Amino acid sequence: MSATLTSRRLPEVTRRFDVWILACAVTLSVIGIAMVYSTTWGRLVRDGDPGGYFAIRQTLFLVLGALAAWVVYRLDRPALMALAAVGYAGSVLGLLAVLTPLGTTINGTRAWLTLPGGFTLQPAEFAKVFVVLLAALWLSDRQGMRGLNDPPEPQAVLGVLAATGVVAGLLLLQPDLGSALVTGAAVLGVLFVAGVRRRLLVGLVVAGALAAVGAYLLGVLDAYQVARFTAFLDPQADPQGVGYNVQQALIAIGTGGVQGQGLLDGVHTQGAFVPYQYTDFIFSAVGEELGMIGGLTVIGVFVVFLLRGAAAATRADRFGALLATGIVCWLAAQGFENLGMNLGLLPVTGVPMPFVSYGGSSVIAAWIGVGLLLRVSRH
Amino acid sequence: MTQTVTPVRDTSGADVARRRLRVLSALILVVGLTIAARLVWLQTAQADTYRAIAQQVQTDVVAVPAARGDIVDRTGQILAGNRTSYEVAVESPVDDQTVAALVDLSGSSKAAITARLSICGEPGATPGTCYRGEPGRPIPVLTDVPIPQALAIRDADLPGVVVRQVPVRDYPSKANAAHVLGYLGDGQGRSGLEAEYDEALRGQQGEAKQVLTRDGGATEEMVAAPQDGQRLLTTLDLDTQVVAERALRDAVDAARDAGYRATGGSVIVMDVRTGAIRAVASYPTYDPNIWAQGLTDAQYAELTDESGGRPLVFRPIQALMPPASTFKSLTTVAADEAGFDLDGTYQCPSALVVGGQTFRNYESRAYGPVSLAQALSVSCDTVFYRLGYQMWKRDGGLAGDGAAEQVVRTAREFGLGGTTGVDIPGEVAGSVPDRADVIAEYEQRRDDFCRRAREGYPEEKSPARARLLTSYARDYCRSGDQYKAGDAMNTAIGQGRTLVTPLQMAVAYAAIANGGTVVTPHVGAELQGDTTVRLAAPPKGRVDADPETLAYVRAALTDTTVDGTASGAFAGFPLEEYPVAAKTGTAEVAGKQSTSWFASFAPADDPRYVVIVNVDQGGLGAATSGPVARAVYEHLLGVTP
Repeated sequence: MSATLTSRRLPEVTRRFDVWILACAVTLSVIGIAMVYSTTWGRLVRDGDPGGYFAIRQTLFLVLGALAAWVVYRLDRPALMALAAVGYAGSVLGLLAVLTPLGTTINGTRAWLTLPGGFTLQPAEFAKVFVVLLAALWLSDRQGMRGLNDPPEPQAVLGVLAATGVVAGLLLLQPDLGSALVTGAAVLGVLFVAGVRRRLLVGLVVAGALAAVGAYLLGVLDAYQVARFTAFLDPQADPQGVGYNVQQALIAIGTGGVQGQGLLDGVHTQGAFVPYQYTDFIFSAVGEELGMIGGLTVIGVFVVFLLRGAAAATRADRFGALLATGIVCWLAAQGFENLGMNLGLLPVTGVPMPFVSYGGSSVIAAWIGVGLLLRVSRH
Repeated sequence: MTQTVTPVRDTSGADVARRRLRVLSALILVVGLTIAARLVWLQTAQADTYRAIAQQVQTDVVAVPAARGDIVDRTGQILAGNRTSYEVAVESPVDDQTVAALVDLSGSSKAAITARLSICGEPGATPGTCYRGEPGRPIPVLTDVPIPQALAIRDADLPGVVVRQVPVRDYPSKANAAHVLGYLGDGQGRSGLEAEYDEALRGQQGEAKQVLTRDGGATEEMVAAPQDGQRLLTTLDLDTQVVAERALRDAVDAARDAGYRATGGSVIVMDVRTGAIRAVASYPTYDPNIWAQGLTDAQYAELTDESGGRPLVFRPIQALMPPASTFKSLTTVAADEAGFDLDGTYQCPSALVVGGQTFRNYESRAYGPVSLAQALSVSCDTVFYRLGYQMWKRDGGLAGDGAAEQVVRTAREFGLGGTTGVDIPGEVAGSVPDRADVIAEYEQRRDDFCRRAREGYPEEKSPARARLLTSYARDYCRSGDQYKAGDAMNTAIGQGRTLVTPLQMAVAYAAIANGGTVVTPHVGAELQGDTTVRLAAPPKGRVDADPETLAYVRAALTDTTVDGTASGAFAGFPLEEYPVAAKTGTAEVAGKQSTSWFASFAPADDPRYVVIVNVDQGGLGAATSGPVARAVYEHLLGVTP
């Protein structure tokens, strides 16, 4: 009903979405499916299962993610507000549920809810996107009237910090330090672009650091998470433990060379030397089998995706700008952390590579982000 | 309502949001480039380094086990072979969850599993069950796991847990033969034939290089092929071994029924001409299969427990005891060497008084004037006491020059007082002391006894016993270096300081039986592999004794089973068809019940086998040990032409 009026007054809105963003996300997803197949078929076949099991599921997740993206792309602002409220509440409930006996512990983290049909749900993945959405909504104003450079309302900032704090706290209880840090980084990015004073931002970073130290001192973090950090500082200290994972990833990547050993042909990958090589450490398989060409492609496409997202933010209204910023910061923090730990640059925190790593929740959440980014990019 | 979107204000340079978005974009670009640079560095400059590491990681040199050779009896029946067993090993460290799952699936206890997980030499390691293998390899925690449990554990797919097939020693025959076969520890022979012929039995472990391939499998390239161990053909005869073991067990049971403690015993059946051992049994024994599962501390304690008779001790070669009357055959030979007349007549009174000391016959029986042969077959102590005394006097009595006496020389010639050289590790030597040894011993012990002579035995509870010990200490302190008449006389009847193993007596009686050859007893006959090696056991030598003297002794001993001390034990035995020469013995051991001896060979006219039986604290030689020998001869008579 208001579309005609809006389109007349704001011709930008009728523009097509940014094809680059969609192309980059599709490219990363396709590479991901190929790598999921490469890293899982051997074990599946040895166990007498169909070798394409995980790859087909990943494809299914991609389809579901694309559908979700299409839905959020079409939502108007009131519907988005409703989605943000429902999604955030659902995420918090989900994060609470995983801490109850409903939750399933995998690799020391209680982060999964079991669904019928052999599927599991990881609320942390969805929490990130809804926190970002909520922050963008609150820090622009209720009516969307606020100008791009108007400072945010103090009560909105407080509300965003509270909403983020609840989610981050629940994530630390799982404990999932990586997702908590990623959520924090995403909100920090939103606040930054929303014009919050630098002193407050520095204060938030310091508070976050203090919270992490406090969590360590209070014993909220598990020994293994502490070990991951000490292993990062000294990888040789425990070659059979945490350091092993990184060392094997580095060997896989190092042996890839410029050309790569070829898809399905990486000895280290096919020998399954790298633990979690189809989820968190999937980039090690990219590095070995697709080589520097494949690795730079993944990094390059990912960076282009992020930069196009940031560019969309620059062109958008305040809400759109903050939403795009949040999504870009979220995926950037998560993706760079993932690549960094695969390459031995950052400590291991166990976050998936967006689009590429195997996992339904992760893929669908990232594609909701894509849908929202595409929506913003229309302006 | 209609004003849903405010137009974007474009104030360019002053636009905080845009400026900050540019900062973010720049940050993304910088981080992206940093990560890309790291990737390029890893895949170019570092590529060779990682390729080298990868090759090392992806290549594994694995040992290819060689099958351990069988140990077979002389007819080729397997005494110790191999069977496949399942072993569960875990990579250390292992988490509690996995251990709990293993406990659940195996039915074993958590303590048993964790005890095997400790590494020998590390603090808190459990001795006996701790891991002493190569570090970094999976540690075996469950051995000889029944197949259903092994499969269940394998299917559970526990992290770091491997189920593998390993060969273990198997004992398919009806014989026990635990001591002579020996046992393995960590794949190596630790005792018995397994230890003696370990190198040949073990073979040569091979080596293979496993290199991972692109399909996730591995190629295995044999670097060195394993060489299976050789088969050890023994001189043992399975059936005879079974008979000997059963007869010994029966004899021990019977002796216990008769009120004796019968703490242990042994049987040896040996070819008198070659020293080939046909059967050798030791009681108490143990189940050799217990080694397959890895011994627990409790099991080891049981095997070495004194009150249980120390089943690990291989009595035929490791138990020392006085030979008692079985020694009289050698005294007879010595007497002939010393010039006594074999055809003479000797008085067999009930007692003999020498130097104020009374030496009595068993149950103070008197036989009057007898031949030496009769003295042997009825085992008259006083005849041999007198011979011992007279030889001692001939050697100079107390003033003797220290050269070995004839009895000692003869005993040593027949193989006593030293090891026999049998091909089983752990043989003890025994002793037949002469004057020089007595003096040497005195030098060692004098101070101790002289102190006791002065200070007495205040810790003794019984004053009478303390007095006796003190008076003995005083005597020894004063004149312990003297080789007294009593020493020589006790030696002559196999008492006193002479200590022998049953196998030494087998060698001595084989020499009597075969006409004077001191054989080397042996169990190994051939090592059979690509080439067959005969295991030579050349005789140690010959005794000086006149063959006629030995024939005289053989004839005398033949009477023992007819109308001598063993006539009861051999009543009803077809002695005309198969004459058995024997000498019984009942050894006195201070503070213990007497040791029962039975030394024999047959057929007496053309000896083939020597059979030596003894039962510790088993009472009379004839009554307890005789039936064992008889059972063996009945079996041999049935199988030998």
